[in-house]
Amino acid sequence: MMLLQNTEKKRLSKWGSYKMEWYEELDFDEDPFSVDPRENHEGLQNMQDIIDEMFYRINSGSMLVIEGDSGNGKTSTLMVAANKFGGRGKVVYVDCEKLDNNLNITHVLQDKYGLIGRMFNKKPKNMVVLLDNVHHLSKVNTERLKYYFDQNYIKSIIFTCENFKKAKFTDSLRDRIGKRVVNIPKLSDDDAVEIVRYRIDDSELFNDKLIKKIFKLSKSSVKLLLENCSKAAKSAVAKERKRVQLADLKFLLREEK
Amino acid sequence: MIWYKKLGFHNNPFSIKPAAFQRDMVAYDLEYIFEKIDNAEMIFLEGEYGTGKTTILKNIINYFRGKHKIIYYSFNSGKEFDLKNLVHGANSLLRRVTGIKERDMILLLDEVESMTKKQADSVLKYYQSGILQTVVFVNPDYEKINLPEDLKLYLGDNVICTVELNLDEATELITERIGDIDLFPSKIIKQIFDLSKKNPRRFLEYCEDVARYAVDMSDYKVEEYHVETVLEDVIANSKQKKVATPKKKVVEQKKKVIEQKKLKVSESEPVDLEAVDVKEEPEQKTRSKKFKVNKLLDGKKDPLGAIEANDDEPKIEIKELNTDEKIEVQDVEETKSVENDEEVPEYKVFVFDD
Repeated sequence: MMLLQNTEKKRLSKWGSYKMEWYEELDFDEDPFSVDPRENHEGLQNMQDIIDEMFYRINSGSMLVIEGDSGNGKTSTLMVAANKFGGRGKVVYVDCEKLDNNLNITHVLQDKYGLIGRMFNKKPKNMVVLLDNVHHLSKVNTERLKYYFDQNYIKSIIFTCENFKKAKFTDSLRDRIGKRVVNIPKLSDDDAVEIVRYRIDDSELFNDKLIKKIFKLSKSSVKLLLENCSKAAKSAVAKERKRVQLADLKFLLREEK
Repeated sequence: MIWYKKLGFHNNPFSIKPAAFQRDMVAYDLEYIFEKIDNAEMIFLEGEYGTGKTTILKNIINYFRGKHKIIYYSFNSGKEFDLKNLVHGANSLLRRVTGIKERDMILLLDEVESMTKKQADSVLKYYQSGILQTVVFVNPDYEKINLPEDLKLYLGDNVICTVELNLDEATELITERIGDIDLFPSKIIKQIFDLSKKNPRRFLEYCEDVARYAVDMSDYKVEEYHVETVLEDVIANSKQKKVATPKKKVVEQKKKVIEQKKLKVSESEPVDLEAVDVKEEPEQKTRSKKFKVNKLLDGKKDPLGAIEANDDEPKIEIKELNTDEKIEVQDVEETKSVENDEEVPEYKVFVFDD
């Protein structure tokens, strides 16, 4: 489909030949509340320290655990690293939740050499491994990781999980990690306001009180906050209003009950 | 810019990877181990996490590469331990076709804790038949594993314990890693060393963090307040944990036992070990025995039990009189309380009936 100018879209939608998305009616080109971890990296608030630490650990060749509640940006931080260090075929991102339990992490690492590499058992060198949701990782695979790390096939590993103590790591791997665990801080409601304001470019869509309310109802998860904001904005647009009101939060209040 | 690049290093000089630095074994006499392997003796490596077990293995691999076939297997790797397959896999294609078996291979077994007796026996068999020249077992603790007696005889006094760092070695380790740069004054080295509890891995880890912080502040010499800010929680922890010293003592005693064992080159090692063990903890045992005696008397009210338990040591006989007196008193109290307990419910029942 051809790119249409916003004014043109509005004209077309009047005739019913083009259905506008809710955010287009508010003059956004894309959904401002997108929660795709591959995008919106600049909007990561309060995370610069963690990102710096992560870059340093990757460069210096050690392991790091990033701990944080779900929906607070763990995957997004990993994606920042993938963007920075990717491109030379040295970065592997693995979501352990989707990883089959029988899967051998060796095959994942060897994947980049294709079939021939696997036939000759070619081993990778100086890989950067980003592991998401580590508490799903089996003990066998953690031990393999340890071996590859020791043998320098893997240069550095970044783990993320909700609770490091609950992950099924062997003691020897835990010792290698040591005290290199960083915590993604919990957001205050002022931070939440800042995030939403950043996304909507200071437009009048939400007022601060409302954002704080939504944040409270989303159990302090940024991901849920953005999703709920998106829903609320949608319902406001459906009622042809340019501002979100408390009435648009009905769905949230219902959920709470 | 990363701190170590500012200092002119290309890679992280304090990397904890065993493969990162080849000649890094400051505290160990590797020649001693190599000699043992040349003499086809079995070796058991023991030590806490992070004291350099894997690094010794790495050195063994480097030294014997090309001279012997080396097989490495970790019991935590999840694959089933199939020695026949491992040995077969190590043979070259030519040998596999002709059926001539490779001899004098070196088997390195990591994390032996989950090894079963059957597996140990199969290892022993291959060792006796000469296919394996040596076997190197690695585990954090030697005494936790039930090795077969035969294997223990073969191991003899070759239980090598990775030792804690001492201050000189720590200093040497640092100069090995960063050369003659005057980054760490000896006072700071001592401070970090004390915090690391003599563990080389922790020591390197702390050094890295401190150096990074200092250089990022553009101080090219580490000072005390750098250490204090970076390792704040570690310092706080170490102050708290000073209460729980007895554990440390036990560990030290164990290590001394092993060192003694090395000195005594006698034939019946395992028996010696046990004997030493018994001597080691007499205080604790008597304590627990006393406690048990009291319990027995309280519960069963058997004077015979007391006599049996007290046969072992003369010290308790003196105390026997005291305890007996106490026991009588306790008994009376107990019976009283029991009677009371029984009375109360009966009374209540009557009330309900009315």
